[in-house]
Amino acid sequence: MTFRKLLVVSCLLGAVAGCGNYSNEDLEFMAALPEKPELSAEVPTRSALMLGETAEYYRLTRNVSLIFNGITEAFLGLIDTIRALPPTTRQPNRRIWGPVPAKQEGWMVRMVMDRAGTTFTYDLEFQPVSDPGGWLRLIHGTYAVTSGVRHGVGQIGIDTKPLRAAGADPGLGFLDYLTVDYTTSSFPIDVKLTFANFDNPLKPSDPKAGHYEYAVQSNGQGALSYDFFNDSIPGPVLDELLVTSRWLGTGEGRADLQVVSGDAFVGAEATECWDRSFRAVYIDKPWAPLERTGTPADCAAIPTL
Amino acid sequence: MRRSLTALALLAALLWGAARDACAQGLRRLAIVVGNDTGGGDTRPLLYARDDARKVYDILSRLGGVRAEDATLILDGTAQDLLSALGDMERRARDAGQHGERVALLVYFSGHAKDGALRLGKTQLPLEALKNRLAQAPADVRIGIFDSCRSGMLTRTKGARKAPAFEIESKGARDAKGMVILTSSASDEDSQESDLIGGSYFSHHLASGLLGGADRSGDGRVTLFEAYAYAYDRTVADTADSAAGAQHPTFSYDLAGNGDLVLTDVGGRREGLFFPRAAPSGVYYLVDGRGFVAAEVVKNPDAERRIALAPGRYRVKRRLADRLRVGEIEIGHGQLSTLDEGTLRDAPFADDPVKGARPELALTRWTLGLGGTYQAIFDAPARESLFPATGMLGIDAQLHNFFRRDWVWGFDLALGSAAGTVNLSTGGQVPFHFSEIAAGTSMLVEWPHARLTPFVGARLALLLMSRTFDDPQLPKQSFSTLSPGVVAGLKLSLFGDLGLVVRGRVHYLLYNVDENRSLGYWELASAVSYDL
Repeated sequence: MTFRKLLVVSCLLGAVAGCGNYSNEDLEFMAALPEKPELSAEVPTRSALMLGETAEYYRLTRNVSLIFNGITEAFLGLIDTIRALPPTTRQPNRRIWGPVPAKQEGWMVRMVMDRAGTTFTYDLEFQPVSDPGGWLRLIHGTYAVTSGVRHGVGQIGIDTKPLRAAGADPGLGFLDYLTVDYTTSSFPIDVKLTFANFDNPLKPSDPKAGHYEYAVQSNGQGALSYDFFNDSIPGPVLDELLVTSRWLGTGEGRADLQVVSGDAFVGAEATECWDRSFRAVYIDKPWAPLERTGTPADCAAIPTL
Repeated sequence: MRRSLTALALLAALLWGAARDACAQGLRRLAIVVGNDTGGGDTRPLLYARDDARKVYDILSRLGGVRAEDATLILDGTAQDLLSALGDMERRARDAGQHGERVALLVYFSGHAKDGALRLGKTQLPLEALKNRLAQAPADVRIGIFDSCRSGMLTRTKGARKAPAFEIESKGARDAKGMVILTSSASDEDSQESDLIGGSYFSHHLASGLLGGADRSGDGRVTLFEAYAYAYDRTVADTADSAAGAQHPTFSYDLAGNGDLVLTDVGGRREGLFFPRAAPSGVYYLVDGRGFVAAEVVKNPDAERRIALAPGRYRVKRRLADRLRVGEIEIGHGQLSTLDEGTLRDAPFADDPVKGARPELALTRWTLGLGGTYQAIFDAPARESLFPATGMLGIDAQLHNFFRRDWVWGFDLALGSAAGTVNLSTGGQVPFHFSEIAAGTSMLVEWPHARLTPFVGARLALLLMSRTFDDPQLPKQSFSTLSPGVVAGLKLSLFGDLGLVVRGRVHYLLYNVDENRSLGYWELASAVSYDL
């Protein structure tokens, strides 16, 4: 009998006493859990963008935002799977969801959430069915409500090592650890994400670590800073670039780059601006003078966040 | 009353010869038999008026010499139906008179009477008008038998004399002409029905008498006077200890000439049950297959009795001081069965074959309703952020008189929705859309009056409540519970079978998700009802 069927039968049997998940306090707990819209980077886009017509660093920024979103969605999916179920335990200042069977066969998963005033902490934990001795934590999060629903400051920490050591696949690729700090108290909303990966034998070029910072205003103006590794500057060494992209809600934007390491031009800075059609209007890359296009005056004025 | 009965018996004896002559001469008998359980909005429906009419109609047709074409049975008809049938019978009587036939016209009515009028459903027929019409009918003998409340007023009015005062003309052997009226109760009495006998006391005993129980003379013929005397004795005896008080049938006549009228010829039909002289004396109950008393027979010592029961299987019961004597007897077509005391056995009172009826089933009816309800939790915080006040549309069906008279078993279903907002303790608001399905069953007691019917009762509702949120990340929430409560209301009869119902409910609701909270809620509803 599935968990849901068990719940339905329990409801029928317990109809006299009342049954259901109709809870205001549940809402408070659930509102403290992070959601995809809160932790997603939104870079302006249009449908049917033509490759080659759009600015290089606009495309890069957008691609990085998709990676950023992919990372957050991976662990938020774990939380959402649990959150879709009604809590199995309701205690004062505590909710427990599960345990329910995890995707990983032979494992159970649960989420325990505690509350102290306006601060919530939560842990997503796994346990082997064959050895119900203790719970292994994958995700630990905190959230402090500051000014109402989905307005607060949160931290999320993911450490996959305990699960991997126990022989389980957390379902997060080659992620070693991840920390997320986010503030949704007021605009601009910002999210800082730092991660470290284990080696991917199939893709040795994948970054081993990374740091993203994303901020967005209510009008769609945003910024995304990220480390980027590629071979932008000709030479045998993979170059590390620190990119800060900023854009307006209408689409105009710019990317300011600094060479952190590489074959040459270490410390050099470059700039690319694009219009609301995402076409480059200004390009200034010291290592590619032939690509120079436009003047700085062609760049839209974008305030810093 | 005993004086009157003595006089009646004497009258019957004196006029006996003339009556037999009249019968022998081939008296044309016309009969209108009317039964109507309903009497309009200000009366409570009767249970057995139609059954009584059927019973009398059957006896008159089978034993009373009334030809099929000369008998009319009107069930649940109107005053116009009765007057129309009366007009038809008057025409037949006139035709018969022109052919030299003597004619007796009998009108039997079982139903409501109130405020000086017979009630036939929602129509009325003034008693005085009917009496005058009957008095002027072109028949030699007009007989009115009225089994209805306060029907005795018919025998108080001008033109008729009550039995205790009548005079006996013993001279001459003229055929009787005139009018006789029998009523089931006095002018200030109600006529009572019995669930055990499945009919009114008066009609039951009148029928038993006509079947042969009233044949005091033992000649196999039951005269009008014998039938009345028997019905009077048994009705008074049976109702003496009733809550409504003793019921006294009345008899009046306005006859010129002499002559009793033979109503049934029991001896002429060799079919029924014969009580031999040797059978123990006492009151015998002949119970039909439904558990109703088909006939009661007073068996006197050293006397024979013949009861013209219709063919069928009956159980026989005789009550002794400490036990019953019971048995079964089969009466075949054209067969006169003889009661053999040896076939009866002793039985405890608990095995009484007289089961009676579930009278409420006779009145069982459905009512459908359609209306709106407004529902609100008493507790303001819960009303604001948990279960918002809700308007609902609903249907209901009510089964009246199923368990017992004036008890109503109701079923209802209502759906509603509302908007609400959760005020979180951490600050902020979460708007939601609330919806509810309420299915209930209720047991009510109602007190029908003329147009208003108040009712109270208990209800058990299954509440299915849910809410969805504008925030797509918040899952749908639901709560179901059983909620007991009380109901009170008023039904106003409008026109036809339509009514307007105003109803209030107060319910208990145990909310136990976040914590155990006893919440109450109230409902106000109005609905249009339709009686099926």
